[in-house]
Amino acid sequence: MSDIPPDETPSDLALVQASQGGDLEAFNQLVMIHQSAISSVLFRFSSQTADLEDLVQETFIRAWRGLGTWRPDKPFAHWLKRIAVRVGLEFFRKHKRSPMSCLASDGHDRLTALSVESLTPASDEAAQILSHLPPDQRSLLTLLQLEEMPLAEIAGHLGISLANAKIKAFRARRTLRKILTSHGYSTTF
Amino acid sequence: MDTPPPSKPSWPDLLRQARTESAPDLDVRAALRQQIRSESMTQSLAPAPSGLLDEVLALACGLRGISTFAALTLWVIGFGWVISDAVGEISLVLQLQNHLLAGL
Repeated sequence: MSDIPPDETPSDLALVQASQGGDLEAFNQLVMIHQSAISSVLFRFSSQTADLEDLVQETFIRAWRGLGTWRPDKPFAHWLKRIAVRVGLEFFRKHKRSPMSCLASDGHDRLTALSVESLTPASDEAAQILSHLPPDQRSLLTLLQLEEMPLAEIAGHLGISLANAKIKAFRARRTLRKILTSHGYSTTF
Repeated sequence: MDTPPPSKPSWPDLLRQARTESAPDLDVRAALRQQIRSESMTQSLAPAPSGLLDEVLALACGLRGISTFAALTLWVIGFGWVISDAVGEISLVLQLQNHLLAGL
């Protein structure tokens, strides 16, 4: 991945305008600037590299199609992150239970065995526990607890009010507590 | 003798550990470029969107439709008026004929 010297970096606005004119190279630069941040957010939705690649790609494709809807009075990164969260939420809706989920109904799980093979064992384990939540609650807690995103920002990305986000977070924590208890995890949060 | 299962971490510990794990270094530029190119190729193969001339023609067709309908309506009204006039004439003739026959 080549790096652009900081003082020669064109602004997001200039790159977006050039991209809107069909300049694929300008869009390429936008992707290069933002793909790391977008990968970090979407990594919370899937730590599996193949899925993560698809999610990041889908985010940028939607961004490319919707460049005209970005308003320059707000940061491009924020707009892009919003798309990424939507893509992540849709991913959760499609995969209501993680395909890797191994939490058995009898309370024992085979996660430990799997985690040895994984490069991101804690992320996998946390994601698999969260996968027992409904998609909306799962997205909210993923962003809140794994990404440590402020609730107001989450509300903005999910297109809900802050009050609504607080209620959803409360319900999600309550459901999570039950799941954790049933699987023998300590629930001190 | 069975070994006891490893104790599970607490949820906050698991979260703390998960937060330290970071996303792999991805570069989706090549795949994106390919996808965008194939999308724009598909768009260029798609039927062209209607131009101004098409819109004008469509409007003319619409107007022609409306004027045909108006002409048809006028013709029906006129024909109805003629028919009603003819029917009136016939009934008058019949009445006169009845009076004539009654007189005889």
